[in-house]
Amino acid sequence: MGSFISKLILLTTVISIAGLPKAYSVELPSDNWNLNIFSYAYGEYSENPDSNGQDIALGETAIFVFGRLSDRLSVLTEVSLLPKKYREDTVKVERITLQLDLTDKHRLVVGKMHTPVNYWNDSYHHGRYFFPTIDRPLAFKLFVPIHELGFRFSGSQLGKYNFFYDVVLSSGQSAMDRGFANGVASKTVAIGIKPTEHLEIRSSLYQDRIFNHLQDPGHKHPMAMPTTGTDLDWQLWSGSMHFENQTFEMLAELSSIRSASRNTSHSSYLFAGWKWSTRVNPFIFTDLLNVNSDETHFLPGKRRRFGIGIKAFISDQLDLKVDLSTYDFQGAVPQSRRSALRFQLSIGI
Amino acid sequence: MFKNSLCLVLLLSSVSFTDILEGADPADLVFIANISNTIDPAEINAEAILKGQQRNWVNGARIVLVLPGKKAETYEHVSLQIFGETGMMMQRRWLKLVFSGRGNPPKYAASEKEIIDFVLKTPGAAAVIRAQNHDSLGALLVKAL
Repeated sequence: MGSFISKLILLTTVISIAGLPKAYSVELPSDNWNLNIFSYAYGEYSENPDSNGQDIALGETAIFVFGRLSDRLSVLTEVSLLPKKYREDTVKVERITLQLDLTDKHRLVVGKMHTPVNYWNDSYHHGRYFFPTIDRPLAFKLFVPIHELGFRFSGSQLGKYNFFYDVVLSSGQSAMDRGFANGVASKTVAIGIKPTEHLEIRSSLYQDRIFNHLQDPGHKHPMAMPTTGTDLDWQLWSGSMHFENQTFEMLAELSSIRSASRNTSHSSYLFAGWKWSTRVNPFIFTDLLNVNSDETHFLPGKRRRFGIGIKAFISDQLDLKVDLSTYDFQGAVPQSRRSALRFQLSIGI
Repeated sequence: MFKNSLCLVLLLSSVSFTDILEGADPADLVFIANISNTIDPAEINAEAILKGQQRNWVNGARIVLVLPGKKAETYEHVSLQIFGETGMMMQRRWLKLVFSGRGNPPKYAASEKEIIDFVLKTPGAAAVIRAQNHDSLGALLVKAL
């Protein structure tokens, strides 16, 4: 399966790149194919004595291809590249999907996709160019199942309030890219409305079974003692609210998980940006994540990040985000706190 | 660090403060489409199509949207009237839509003439043009916005 996906991606990318007449403006030989490239660089300056003071790093480059195969059938791929210095897998298939438009309002998507559990994961994917802040919300490091291999039924533009829905049957987090070796291990139901063109509200429920969770790559609790039975059923609830008009942009991402323990863990991310001018948008954000002390899969503790920053649209293709932010962690492992002046230069062509 | 940060903030703030959006002119745009007679014009939601919320016609055929590109004379005008923002932000909005898998990539044309020519020869195509230029549109559907 993995080999097949790699070959398909390679073929799609080569076909697309072969048609590029010039590097800056991406034009493909057919109107049915579209190629975009997103990349970024990251840097920070910190006075924290634990860090090395200054750090500059190259971020992942995402190659995005959209192909229209027929009126109703389209293919979408997103592959990320990163030098070995930064990541073990230099090439990763982030998304590869086939989409069938059943009607003008209902669709079926098959393949490896981003889960529609919240607005962020369903909109920004790996494009830092679109991120409102430098980082993803903290919940993405623990709670949010970013990718799944599965079947997604979607509908939108339904009724007066533009109701939309997603139902996903997928392989689950344990399966990674191995297909349905464990059958349908996870299910997602997401619903929402867009009552005005500026506002979107959504809520989702996600349920997954993590097989042998103590050995799972997503296991983030090194001190967890084996529990009776090592498979772990867990549920995630997410709620998102995104508002954007000509003056403001706001995003709220809330999530709550429940696993073997009866207690829940929570996270909340809040972003507010002001479109001060067409090229400069100041913003503030807070990001809180609280993992319950009874949790066995994720490391308990409180994580907090908050900051203030500016997003500058340098050109049509180039953005610069700068923020002054503080992150701290209070938990069982040594506690940490650091403040940094950070920047992210992102490009999208 | 705060001193450095303040300097940076002030520097970035001066990147551009000149192209603040002006108020839009009175609506003088029309929606045009090259559709078959199996589609009832009353069922067409022009705004949803132009904003990428609808990617197929009601009969299932693909919508091929043409938008004014950077060189087109109506680039900023259409962006402002339809999207309420600059041409640059309109393109970014569309890029995000395509990237999220929700929209068909639009075609960007270099002039209004190119937009009209493309819609005339492409079944399923749709666009927005100035009302003054809708005389030579043949059998295209024309809908006020």
